[in-house]
Amino acid sequence: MLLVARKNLFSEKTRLAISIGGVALSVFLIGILLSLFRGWSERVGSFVEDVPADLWVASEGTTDFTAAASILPGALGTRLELIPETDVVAPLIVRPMEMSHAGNDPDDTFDVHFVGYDPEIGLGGPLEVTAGKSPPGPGEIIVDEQMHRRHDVDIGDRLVRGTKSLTVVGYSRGGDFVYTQVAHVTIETAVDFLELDPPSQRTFFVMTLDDPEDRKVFARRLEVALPGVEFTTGEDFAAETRDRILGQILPILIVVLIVAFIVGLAVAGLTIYTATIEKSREYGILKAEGFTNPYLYRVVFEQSMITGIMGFLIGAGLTILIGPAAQGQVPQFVVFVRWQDILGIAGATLLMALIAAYIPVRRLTSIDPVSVFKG
Amino acid sequence: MTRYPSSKADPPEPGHERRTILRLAGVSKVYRSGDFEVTALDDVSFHVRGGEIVAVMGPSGSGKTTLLTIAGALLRPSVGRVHVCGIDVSEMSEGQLAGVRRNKVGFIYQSFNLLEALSALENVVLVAQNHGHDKQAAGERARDLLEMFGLGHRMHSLPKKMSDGEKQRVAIARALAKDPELLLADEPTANLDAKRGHEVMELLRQKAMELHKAVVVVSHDNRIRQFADRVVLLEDGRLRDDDTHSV
Repeated sequence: MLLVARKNLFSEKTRLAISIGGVALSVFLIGILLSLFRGWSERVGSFVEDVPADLWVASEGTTDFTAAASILPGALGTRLELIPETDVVAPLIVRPMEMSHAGNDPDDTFDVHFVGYDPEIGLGGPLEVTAGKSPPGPGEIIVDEQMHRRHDVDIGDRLVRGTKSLTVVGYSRGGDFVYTQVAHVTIETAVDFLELDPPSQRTFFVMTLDDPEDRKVFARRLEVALPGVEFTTGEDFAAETRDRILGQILPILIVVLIVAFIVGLAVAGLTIYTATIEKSREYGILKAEGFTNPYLYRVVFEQSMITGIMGFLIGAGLTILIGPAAQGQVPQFVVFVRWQDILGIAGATLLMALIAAYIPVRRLTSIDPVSVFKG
Repeated sequence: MTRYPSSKADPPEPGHERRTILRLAGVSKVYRSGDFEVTALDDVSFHVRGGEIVAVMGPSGSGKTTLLTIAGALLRPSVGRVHVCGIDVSEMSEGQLAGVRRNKVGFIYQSFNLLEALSALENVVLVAQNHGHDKQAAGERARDLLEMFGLGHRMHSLPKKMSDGEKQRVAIARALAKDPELLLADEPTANLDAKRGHEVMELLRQKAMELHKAVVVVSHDNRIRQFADRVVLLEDGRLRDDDTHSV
């Protein structure tokens, strides 16, 4: 590292702190937003991904779990069971809705992704019950533990929708979609609670196959054989579910990421530029002494790089420390810090430092060494 | 007013100093801005040999600094030829001129022009390294020079902690760090009081003679005459006189 670059940089500690702070803030903002996006990506699709189904069956046009606009006849399940390649078929009744605590203000509601399943088959039911009893009995419901944390829904509470109510009997894990959580009841309870007419209608069927390797080909075959019914592999259904939710926030996220990058670039660029302007005379002296333009460029680039590296280390450190800590305080703040993202941010910081040095470097070219003989 | 003592150099040793280090032949410099033209130098010719101190004197605006910057390979002349150590620098590229400055020319400035963030030692080391010395050799050379100029106790001081006289001594040490054959000083005493000015000029004269450097001192301070072997007068860009100090 060049002596002049290091000395110039560290002799102006306030400016250095501002410059590093700007880059660190930018890195932190980018890091937190990316981690938040990753966290949501992990969380919102995980329930669908973790249900051990090879195929999800829905009415045509429904390709994800959250839209849940699918209506299928109950008899379809019997037809699917008769197919030789089928291992297990399980019906699901899924309905996004708002519920409230019995006794509370009816307007004080929270979102619930209501899932009716067949406890005898188990497929599509709670992934892991962490407290209480399972399966639920008639008029009983198992809620996700995140619902318990966020909305103070405790075992023994009664959840109300209209004139109907259900008693909470357990907590499950793995059904958090961040903005809503799954809650499981039996098929019979779901039919009764939702007053389905005809009562045989279902939202989805989930299937396992004897040979899951062929599930994509099998799905296409079934779609041809059963018009109006959509067969989607488990991973595609999970991906569609993620895209449905995250696709809404991704454009906003990208804009904010760009803004964060520009803020970091502007702070680093301006401080390095003003430092270069202030040191114009000294760069002129160096030119007069026979230092070449490439040497001076290197001085500015090194200053920019040091600023970038220090800003990155602080910003990345804050992301790693503050992200999980904030998640502990705010349950919706679901972050997942990936080393690949940190590596990507390091690349973005490098780019930031290079661009920040570009304009000052151009300024160096125009410094006339003769000017150092004036005054 | 302090009178500077006359202090001429000892007779030169044969073989070293008589070589012409700087030669200007018919040099003119015209600055143009739109339709306006200003002639800063007009057909100037002179030379400086090794071991010789030449004072270039004249009023403000007479073209002294232009002459110095052309002699120092910072500016190219509009007309005429400039040779530094026998090399014609008149039409060199910027990169080539930088090479000449890096190896052949040492500058001493009116306002010292030390890098503020660097200590005295680092200021000298930096230039020595740029000349081609490795880090260790540059450090040794810088220490020797600063010791030579009585600054052994100030090596690690920043310029802002030093007196003007000390700064100018550091600047002279820096100019010598690359072992140049030509030293160019621009008003080296202008920012110093009479006593410090005398000390600095005496030191410059003494070291230049010992090390057989060709020295050009540009000044409008008449007291400089007493340290010069030859005085060149510049007025309105033209050489007017080569006065009684000629050797």
